[in-house]
Amino acid sequence: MKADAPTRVLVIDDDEIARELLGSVLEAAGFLVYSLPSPIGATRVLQLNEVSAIVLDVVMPALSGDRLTTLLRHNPRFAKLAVVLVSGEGDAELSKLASAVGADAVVSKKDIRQSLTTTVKKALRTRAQAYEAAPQQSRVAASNGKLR
Amino acid sequence: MDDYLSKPLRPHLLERMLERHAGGLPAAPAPAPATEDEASSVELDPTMTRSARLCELFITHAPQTLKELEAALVAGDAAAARASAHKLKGSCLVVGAGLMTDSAFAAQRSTESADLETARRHARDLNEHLPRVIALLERERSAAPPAAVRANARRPLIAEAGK
Repeated sequence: MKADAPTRVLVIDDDEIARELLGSVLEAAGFLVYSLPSPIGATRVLQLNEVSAIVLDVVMPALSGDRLTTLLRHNPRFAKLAVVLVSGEGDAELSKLASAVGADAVVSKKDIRQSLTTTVKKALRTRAQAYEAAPQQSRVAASNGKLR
Repeated sequence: MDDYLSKPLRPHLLERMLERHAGGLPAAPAPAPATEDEASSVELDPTMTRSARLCELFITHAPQTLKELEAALVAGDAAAARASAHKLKGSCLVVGAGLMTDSAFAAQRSTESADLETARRHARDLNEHLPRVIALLERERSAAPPAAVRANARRPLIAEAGK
């Protein structure tokens, strides 16, 4: 990816209304946004499009956002991927869940307009720092994958 | 029955109605714009920005989600009702439909405790609010500049995302 290319973000939410708002806020901030209505096919989109961050709704049919986060965190290929959880539940509850599954940041659905952009940027920084601090072995595994 | 007030109860409307019936005052004139705005702002947060596309999506999808909630409640399916109530709550949150958010959240909580009768009551509240929220969003959508719709159309299509 070119140095000046927009940062790519994948948005996953089964609610089309929330997905539209998440996408439009991120686009307005200069991100290149991909969107999916469910986690099905997410890993393929992440790998093929050099996505740097994923914004995930927590409660979704088939596979929840927190479960997908757990799966991504156990895959070294996605070690550099920033994960942001989004939910309509309470902030404290959401933060606790994010901490348990290894997400980098959270946003309440009521705060998308005010907080999403800064939260995604913060999550990207947090993830980059965590990646640099990780053992060399993990970084090699990630760089061998298609995600960069 | 001499008159009625729909929920949620708004003190200024109740006061005006009591004055009219108990005090024998002449029928109140049409609500002043400020009062109408106040009533509207309870239904839909006026400080939030909403694109025409966002309005359109809510107008299209929220009634369907509410129907799914009602169908699940009729069928006695608490899990499906919870899923629909949760989804509707998220939709209402992102457009700033405050009273609907509260009712959807209450319906969700009721389904979590398997209290479907209470959930049905909240679903009826949602049915009362929905037409008002849709009317306000229709107004916003027709006033929104076409550019808002074009900007959103630039997003890569989901089908293209995996290419």
